[in-house]
Amino acid sequence: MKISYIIDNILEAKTNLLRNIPRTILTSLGIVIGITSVIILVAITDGAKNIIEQQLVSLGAKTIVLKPIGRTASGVYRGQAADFTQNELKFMRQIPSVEFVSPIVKTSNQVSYRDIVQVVAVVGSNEDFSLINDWPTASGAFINRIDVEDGAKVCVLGASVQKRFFGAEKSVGKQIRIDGISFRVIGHLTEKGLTPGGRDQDDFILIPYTSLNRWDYKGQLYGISNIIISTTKTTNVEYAKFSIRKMLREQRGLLKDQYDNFQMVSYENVTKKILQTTMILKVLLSAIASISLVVGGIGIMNVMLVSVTERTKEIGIRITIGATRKDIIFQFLSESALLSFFGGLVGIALGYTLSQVASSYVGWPAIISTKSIVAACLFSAFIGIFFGIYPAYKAARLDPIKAIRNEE
Amino acid sequence: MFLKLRKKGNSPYPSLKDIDRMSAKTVIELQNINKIYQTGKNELQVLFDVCLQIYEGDFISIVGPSGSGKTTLLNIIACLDRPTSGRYLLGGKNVKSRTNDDLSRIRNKSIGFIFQSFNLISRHTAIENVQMPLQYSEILDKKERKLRALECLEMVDLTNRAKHHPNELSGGQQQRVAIARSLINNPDIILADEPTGNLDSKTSADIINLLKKLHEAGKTIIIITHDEGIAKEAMDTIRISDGRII
Repeated sequence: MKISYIIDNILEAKTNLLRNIPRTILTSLGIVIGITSVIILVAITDGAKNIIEQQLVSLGAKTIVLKPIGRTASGVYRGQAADFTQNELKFMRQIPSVEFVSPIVKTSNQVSYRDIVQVVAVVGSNEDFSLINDWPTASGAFINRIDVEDGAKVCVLGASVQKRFFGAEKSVGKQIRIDGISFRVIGHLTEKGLTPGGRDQDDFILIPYTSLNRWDYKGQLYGISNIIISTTKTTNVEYAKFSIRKMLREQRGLLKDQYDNFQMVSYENVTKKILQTTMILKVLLSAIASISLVVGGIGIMNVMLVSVTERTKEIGIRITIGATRKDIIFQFLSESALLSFFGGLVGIALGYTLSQVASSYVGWPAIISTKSIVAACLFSAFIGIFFGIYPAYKAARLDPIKAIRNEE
Repeated sequence: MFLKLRKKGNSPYPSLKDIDRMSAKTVIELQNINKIYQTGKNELQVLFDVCLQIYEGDFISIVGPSGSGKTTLLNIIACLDRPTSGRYLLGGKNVKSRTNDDLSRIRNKSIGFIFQSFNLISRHTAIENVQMPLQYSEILDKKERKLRALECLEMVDLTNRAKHHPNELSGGQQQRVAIARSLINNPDIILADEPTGNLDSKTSADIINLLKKLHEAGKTIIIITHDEGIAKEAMDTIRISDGRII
């Protein structure tokens, strides 16, 4: 079938539909309403899913915590607990599903500024810490990669530490002493408040984990006891865990029958369940909206049947002067497909506008993806073709001798 | 019962033409054609053992009272209907084994149709109507279609009405558009079913003159008519009564 043949038929269908504009609009209204409601529902549920996903991420849906202990389900410790090495850290970063890797080294030290001297928790980490925990600085900067590479003597204060040592005073650029060693304050973090358990999350000082090890001249090096990892997507957690486990077992030369000497904690099952629920909701709502598409399709079929009856004489003439059955079928299918496709386009435009309005009511963004627009276009054309088959077939089966005698 | 080629006293054609025809190629050959319509339990035979031979370049008129079967005969010749029994050879080839779509293609390429009620499609302009058969040919180039349609409209002297719709044209003009349409694929045969039935005598004469011109250009023309005057314009007249050629 040549493209010009298809274009010819579509142009002819267009002329036909433009001849009776009120009827064309009324007929495609069913499809307009159907596509509009599907677009709105998909946009709103997608928006809701997005918000839920964001909230889950901030609750740790993308996060994996690694600890250097292995234990069985019965609670018996197995294997040698071992801290993580620089090498392992480097390999973790190379796993494609892993986005950020942040080592956590915890200690507590005497911290002094002017006349205030207190024992404060000191956390050694790297530049990814702020990103993984979604924890920006309130003023100043967070430690960067170069600070970590150099083991720079810089620190970022938790909100509570900032209050206790500096109050409302500006801390950035000031020097504080941690265990007697001078550190420059480069920023302080926003406040996170208490955990549900009542622990103050803001009561710590963060420094590059490399400088924590270097300054400790006591000879006792701090190992990397914990690592926090975030994956590129919530759906990647399981995959990332698999890759990390494989890498660590290889690195540590663990044999098949040996237990892991590390532990990974994550919440992918909870995330999966919650996202599944929103998915079910989306499918259910679109299915309900699709009913109106079927009703719209029946409307098209009805009007096409009327159109075939009205044009009986024309069909007779066309067959007489050489149209084959295929030509007639194609002519009517083009018309019903175009009718429905037009309804689909209007529906998309209307759905887009209304979902923006709806999103301002429900309070979360409506997300319209290219995928849903393309799907709506194709689906509306499909409805037109599907419900146009019977009328087109009926037209093609007309007996030209009888049809041509029909009065218009 | 083959048609005898009788020369009429008042025929405008000299007898020499008749002799010419003997050597011409047969384009249409009907052998013992019967047509029986089945309506419920009743059978209605419309054509009885019709035999007919039409040569290339013939101008034949078919006359007979209404209900005599002349339209059925024309429908069979036009490949719009199939005989119940008998052989129909079009251009020497048996039509029986052809599918409906094959027959559509044959009608498209080698038969031009002219009807009593013109049968133009009212929402299309004259030129669009003339072009329509090309839509079902392989000619898909827009420019060529238009050019050919204009050529055909020129033949019927209606180029100035190309953009008019049928309801803006007089009966005679509509029929000329229909003739232009019948010519678009340059068919060998033109079938006209009462082409002047809806026209006054002056426009009728114009239409007949057009058909005669086409005949002179080498087309085979078969025309059904009530009008004895028009029938006489043809080279030969086939009279049909109660489904039999007389």
